[in-house]
Amino acid sequence: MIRVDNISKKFIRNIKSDSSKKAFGKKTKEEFYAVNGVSFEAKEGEILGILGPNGAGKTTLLRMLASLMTPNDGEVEIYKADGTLIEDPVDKKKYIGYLSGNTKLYNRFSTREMLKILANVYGMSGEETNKRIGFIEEVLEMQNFIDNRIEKLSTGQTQRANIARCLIHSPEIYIFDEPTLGLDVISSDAIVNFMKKEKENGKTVLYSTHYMEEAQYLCDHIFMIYKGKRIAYGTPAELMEATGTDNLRDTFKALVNKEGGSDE
Amino acid sequence: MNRKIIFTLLKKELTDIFRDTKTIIIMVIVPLILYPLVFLGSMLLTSSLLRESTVKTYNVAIVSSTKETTENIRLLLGEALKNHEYHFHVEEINASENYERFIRDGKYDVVISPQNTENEYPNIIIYSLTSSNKSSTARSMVDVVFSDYSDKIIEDRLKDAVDDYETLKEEPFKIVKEDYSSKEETTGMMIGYIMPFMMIISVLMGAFTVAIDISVGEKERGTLETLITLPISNTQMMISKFIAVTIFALFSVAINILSFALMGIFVFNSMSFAETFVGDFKFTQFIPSILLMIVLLVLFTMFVSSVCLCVDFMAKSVKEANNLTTPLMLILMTGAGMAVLPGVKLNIGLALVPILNVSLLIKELFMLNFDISLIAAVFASTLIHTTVAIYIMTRVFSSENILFGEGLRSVRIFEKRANMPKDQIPGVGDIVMVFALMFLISNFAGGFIVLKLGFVGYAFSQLIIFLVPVLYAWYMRADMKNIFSLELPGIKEMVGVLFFVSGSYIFNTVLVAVLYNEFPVIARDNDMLSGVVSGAGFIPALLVIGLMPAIAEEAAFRGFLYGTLKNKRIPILATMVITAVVFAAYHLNLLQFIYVTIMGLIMSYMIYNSKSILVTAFFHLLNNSFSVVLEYHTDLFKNVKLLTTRKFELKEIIMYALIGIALVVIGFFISDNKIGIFAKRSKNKKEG
Repeated sequence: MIRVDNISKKFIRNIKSDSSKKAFGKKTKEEFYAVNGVSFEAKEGEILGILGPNGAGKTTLLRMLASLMTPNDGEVEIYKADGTLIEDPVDKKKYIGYLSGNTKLYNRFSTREMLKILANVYGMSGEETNKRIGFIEEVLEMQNFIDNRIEKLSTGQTQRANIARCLIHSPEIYIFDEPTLGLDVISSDAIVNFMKKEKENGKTVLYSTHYMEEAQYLCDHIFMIYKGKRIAYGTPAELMEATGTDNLRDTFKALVNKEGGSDE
Repeated sequence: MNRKIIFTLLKKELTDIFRDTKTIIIMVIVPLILYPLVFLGSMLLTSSLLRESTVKTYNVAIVSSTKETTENIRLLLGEALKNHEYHFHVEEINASENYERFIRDGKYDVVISPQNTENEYPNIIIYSLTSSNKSSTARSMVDVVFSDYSDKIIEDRLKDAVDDYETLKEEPFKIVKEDYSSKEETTGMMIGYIMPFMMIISVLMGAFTVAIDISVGEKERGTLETLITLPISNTQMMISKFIAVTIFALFSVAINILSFALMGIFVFNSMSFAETFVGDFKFTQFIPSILLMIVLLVLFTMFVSSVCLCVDFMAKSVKEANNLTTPLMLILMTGAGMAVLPGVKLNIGLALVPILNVSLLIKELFMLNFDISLIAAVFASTLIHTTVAIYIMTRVFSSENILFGEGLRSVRIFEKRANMPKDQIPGVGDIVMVFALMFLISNFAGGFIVLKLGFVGYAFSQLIIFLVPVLYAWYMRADMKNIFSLELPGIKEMVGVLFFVSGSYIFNTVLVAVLYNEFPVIARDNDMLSGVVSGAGFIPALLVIGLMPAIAEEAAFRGFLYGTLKNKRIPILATMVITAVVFAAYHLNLLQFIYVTIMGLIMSYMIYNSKSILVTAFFHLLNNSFSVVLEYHTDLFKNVKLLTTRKFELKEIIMYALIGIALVVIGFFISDNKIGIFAKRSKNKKEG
């Protein structure tokens, strides 16, 4: 289970001040919140969809959940299956499988080599590792290319190798940042099915996407974020009802427009 | 567990590097194939050029004069080179010709013009063109022919004039030259000039490429984000990358050594003197040098690797990293190159200068000079530099900052000044940065200058100690008033200073005297002051030793260091002690360490109590000036001066120490804002 308690992340961005008469306006710094006081929780066997327009703070939020970034304020609490809280920030990562468009793989290794190295870092024994790789190889149908160097793989194969990377240590929580972005129907279906299956296995899945149909079909709960703040939370049905729409796409538009429209 | 993770990561890094064909080509092919090719090529070129110049005909023109003179010169030129491979082709030309044109066009290499042919021996003018290789060679050969001829005529004249010419010609005495340096030493000297530069360049080359690839390279390829999804700590990641760079740089050194050794053997074998030389040449003499060099290189490689990584982590892209590292490489190479300058010799001062010390020590080792204290000093200072660099690497940079692009926010200097918020308080990263800068600049530049200029150099290093923290604070728009405690002091605090300074001076004098007698070893180099001021006048000494540290060292220690720490969530007592200990450590002298710590504690108290840097500056000024006055007017204070070297009775020690402590306590009572006797009248009550 993962519980997020009032987390915030501050960044500094350059802004041009209008008062300056110089051709190249003097840049000044401005602090802004990419994520501002967000709280929620996701239980075992639940898929939580994190939605929001571009620049809303989804990626920053997911990075904080995966302990890649430290929040300026608030806590991300990760609980083991037996309900104990994990204190050590490095330890947390053992229970999380994180995937995003930015997590690239080492080109000069084969998928199998990479998985072995990761298993080693997670402290798995040799026998355990081989068993696990065999299992993953079968589930993700990687037999044909698992021993090829990653630089030689196709986009779909690379994405599968990337998912294999998240699976190797059997995490309790999956955090996927737009996992189906840029994939064909077959590959993205495979990923959607995988998430469903892991949910049935009692795992927690948090994921962000821009595909509303997919989210409507897949998610138990939806968390909507806009300009770093929560604007809605609930089951897809609840949200649709509240906004009086009949699909999540319209719900999304209605909610964002209510807050002042998209940034982009 | 910890070690296992680092080991796994290290294995990953190394595999990754060694599978990168581009890197391997640069690292292996270049030294092993390209260097020998270039070397052999240039050797072949030189020898073929030499051969070309040996078989040659030189065209000589003789300006017509009398028939007899021309014939004589022809004969002379033909005779002289009878047994050589080259010869003169002689032609006769008219005096009216344009000789210069001929020579410039290459028709003739030299033109010989006899003058005053009516004399027995005519004068000779030789026209030539020094800028042409062939012409100048021909000129020198012709020159030799004529001067030999001239010598022979003189000899004949002498033979005719005196009877015992043969005995007169004998050398009046013999000169025998004995060379103490063995073959090993001579060779060592030659190696010692080439080796340091070669080794340091190969370390730099190895570390440079790989450090970029492993840091920003990973970031650019997007694998760094993957890496930090793993349960590894910042330190584990840094350390594994650092070790990988170090190993790879050492690998590059090994390849370079191999390449040069192979070339060396080749050249050696192809030389004619090889056999006679090898005869009693004991290679074993160099084994300690080589072993020490290897250990030193390992340390040095660690230093370079961590510095490279620090620089590369600052960069946002590989291109930017290249831009940042290139000037760094130039600085490092200059340091390495300075070792071969004539007259630069390793001493205790230079042993502290990074890179230069390594370079100089390698030179000394191959010259078979094993000075244990210098070797120890170089190893110790390299170890310290390395530790500082690794500390900065692991502490200043966190994986989050490196990855998400705000890498340098903990070190303010890397931000544009215009972008800084006003009235900042520096962070601990800033302190590390300022003191590292101070240490490096005053070691690198100051060490040199103090050595060359002595007194002026001391003033210079004080200037650096002042400028670095003040400029740094100015640049980051620090709250100067707060950091440097710029407040006017109260009268009672200034009065207190008089008691503090006399008290601590007396106490410390006794302390030094006791230590001096009990532990002569540590007291050996205590007479630094007289060393620094030697030759300077009283007033300059007062300014440089008395006034300058009172401003500069106060700005750095009671200003930047104390001023920053007092704003942090550190107990004020710890801040005071840290300031005192760092201040003492900066003096780099064991004997001074003890009493400077005591002084530092008193000064920490004073700045805490008064909140005014003028108070401690006043204390510092009085204390140092008093030492200068003692140094120059020994006659006035004979008794005081004698104290330091005198053997004390226990009774006296206790008496003086008590007087000192009593004075300090009085100072405390006068100046303290809570229990001081003027407490009620103080306007500084509002503190809290």
